[in-house]
Amino acid sequence: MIEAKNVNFYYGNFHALKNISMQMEANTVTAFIGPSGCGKSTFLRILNRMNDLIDDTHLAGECLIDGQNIYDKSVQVDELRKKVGMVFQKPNPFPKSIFENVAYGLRVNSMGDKSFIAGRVEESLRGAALWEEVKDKLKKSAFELSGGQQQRLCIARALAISPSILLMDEPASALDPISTSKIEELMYALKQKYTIVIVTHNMQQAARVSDKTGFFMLGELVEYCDTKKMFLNPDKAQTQNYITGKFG
Amino acid sequence: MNKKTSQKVAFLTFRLLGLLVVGILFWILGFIVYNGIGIISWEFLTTAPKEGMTAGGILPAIVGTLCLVVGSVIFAFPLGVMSGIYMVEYAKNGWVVKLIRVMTNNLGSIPSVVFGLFGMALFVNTLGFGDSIIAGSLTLGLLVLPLIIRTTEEALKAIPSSFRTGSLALGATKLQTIRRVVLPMAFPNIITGLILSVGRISGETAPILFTVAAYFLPKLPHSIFDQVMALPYHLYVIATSGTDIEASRPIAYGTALVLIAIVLFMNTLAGMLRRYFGKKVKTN
Amino acid sequence: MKHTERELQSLKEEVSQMWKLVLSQLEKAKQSYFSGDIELAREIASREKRVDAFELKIDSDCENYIALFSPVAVDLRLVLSLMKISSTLERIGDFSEGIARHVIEEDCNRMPPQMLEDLQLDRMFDMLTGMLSDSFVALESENTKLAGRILAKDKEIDAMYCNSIALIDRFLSENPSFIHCGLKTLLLIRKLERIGDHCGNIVEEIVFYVDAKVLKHGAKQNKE
Repeated sequence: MIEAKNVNFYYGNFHALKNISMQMEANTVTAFIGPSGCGKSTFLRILNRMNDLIDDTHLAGECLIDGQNIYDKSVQVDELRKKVGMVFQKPNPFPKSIFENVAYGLRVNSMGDKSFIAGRVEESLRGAALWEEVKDKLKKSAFELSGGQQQRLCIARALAISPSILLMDEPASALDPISTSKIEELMYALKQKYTIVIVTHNMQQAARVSDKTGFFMLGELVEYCDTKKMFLNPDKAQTQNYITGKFG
Repeated sequence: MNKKTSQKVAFLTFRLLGLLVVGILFWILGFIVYNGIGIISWEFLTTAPKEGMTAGGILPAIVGTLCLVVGSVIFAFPLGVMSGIYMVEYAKNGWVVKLIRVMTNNLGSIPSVVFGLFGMALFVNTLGFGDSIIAGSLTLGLLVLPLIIRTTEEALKAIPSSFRTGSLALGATKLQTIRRVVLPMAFPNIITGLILSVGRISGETAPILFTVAAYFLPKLPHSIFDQVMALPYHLYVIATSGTDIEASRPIAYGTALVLIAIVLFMNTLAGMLRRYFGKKVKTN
Repeated sequence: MKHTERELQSLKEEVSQMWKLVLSQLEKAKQSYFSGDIELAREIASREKRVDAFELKIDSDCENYIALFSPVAVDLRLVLSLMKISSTLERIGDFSEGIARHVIEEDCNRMPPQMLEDLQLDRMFDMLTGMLSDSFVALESENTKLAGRILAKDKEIDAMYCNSIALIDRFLSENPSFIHCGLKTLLLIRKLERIGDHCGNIVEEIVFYVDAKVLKHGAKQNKE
């Protein structure tokens, strides 16, 4: 379970997130929607501390995962990121073989011996619905795969280190409709085992895949509720205007 | 003049100028090859100069140049690559990095003779290495350090940050990310920088003048504290201040040819390595 | 199957269940009418609530489906026709309940058996259940070949309804003591005629879903 308590985030002097408080249940898909620059991606990156990589930023408030504040001094960032995997907007496989891409996380975290890694690679590729397509060319470069396959490879790569949470930052925005639909189907299947948080510009996608949806605007969480409610009868006029496209 | 003709005239001008440059290059090369090829023989490459450098070969100079290349690369390559990594991957983009960058750029534009003088003051005299391979190598190393830092920096910057974030998001540390993802990808370009600096090292005359080069030393070095001959300096000597300049003219052309061949060989090698490693880490 | 397809499938499944319920309501209405079984009639009246609940559930599920999955083409037609079918089924359920109330009220003498036979009430009921179950088969099999037959039956029922007005008119002028009962019987037949119309509407919706053709309000308009 993920819980944010009064999270405020600043890029230098820019107040990017204002008093965000929300809870995300285990084994659900939560989608964040909102116009560009509304802070949804920033909030996503707070959950695995990817914002630490950006200079001159700071955070106030608490962000708890399974009850522990991930911004606590005692938390090791690389351990946190093992638990909270991430898939990015543009597929970013490493210039290595398909097998090595998936094994990468296991190797850098020294998890298991050779046979364990081989087993886990297969398991992860199956989990990402890619195994059947690549099982005969595991030694081939990951760049030989199509964009959609590369993105599923990145998902497999994230699954390999068995995280409990999977963050997805517009995972299908660079893909064609068929690959997109495969990724969405995958998300639907993955929520049995993982808690998924996805940022998307595509409202229909949020509607299709998520259980709960949060609408961000100008750094504020305007509305956060069941996806069904959000797309049928949102409470706030702002939300309504945005999802109906009347947003001025 | 209408648009079409002006277009044609411009195109023709650019083309002629381009051909001119190539032409000059080939002219120089042709001149050297034409004059130097006659003297090249197995003996020329494997024996020491004789009879006041009007006969015999240039082996000590070849060996000397190779020693200097190897020595300066051993010194400058790790240092340069590590500084480059520090500047791109670790240092925050503050005034320190800016300062280092300005300094390396300035270092790169200092005339090489000044490096020679500095090398003599520091390595030869202060540190007491005397005129030796080590003093020369360190001086040459300093000379190409900015080039190596620069190319390393450029090579690292060319790697999209998405690969770094991708690795970090999998729980890898910064060091693991650099070692396993960033460096392998940047390697072809770093290697190119290295080989270019090797070309530069083998051709420089001024820095070795004060620090290592021997006027005439027909024996091979035994330790890094020995003096050696070097191709560029040897060329200078036999072309300007030899015992019998006219008699040693063919040897001068031969030496020039060998020097050019070594530099060209290095550049070709750079291209091949680049292509080889580039294939291994092809990015999309 | 994709999860969006599964959602649509379960929507269709809900409508099928509602369909079966309404069909059994109609059959039981017939049974209670001819046997005068008040208990059965009460059961029908109480089960009407379940039909209403089905309609509400299907409505909200269809709304959610459209809101979440933005269906297009055949999926959109299916959802739209399922929505209309469910509200039509609910109306049929209402009429079945009306027939049951007619039985429960019991405030008039029954029409003489000969009259009931002349009115062909038995046959009307059977035609209606036939239409309802045929249209169910049409949706399940996505086959519109049955459509013509069902619509023809609707015409026949309309004719029977017109005919019954004349019959009752003649009967009442001869037997004025049956006026109350005769009018109520006419209302009942009117209900059956309406059920026939609704079955026709359902078939039109199925044709819209399967063939994307609009049959409503006369196909002539489309031909022009």
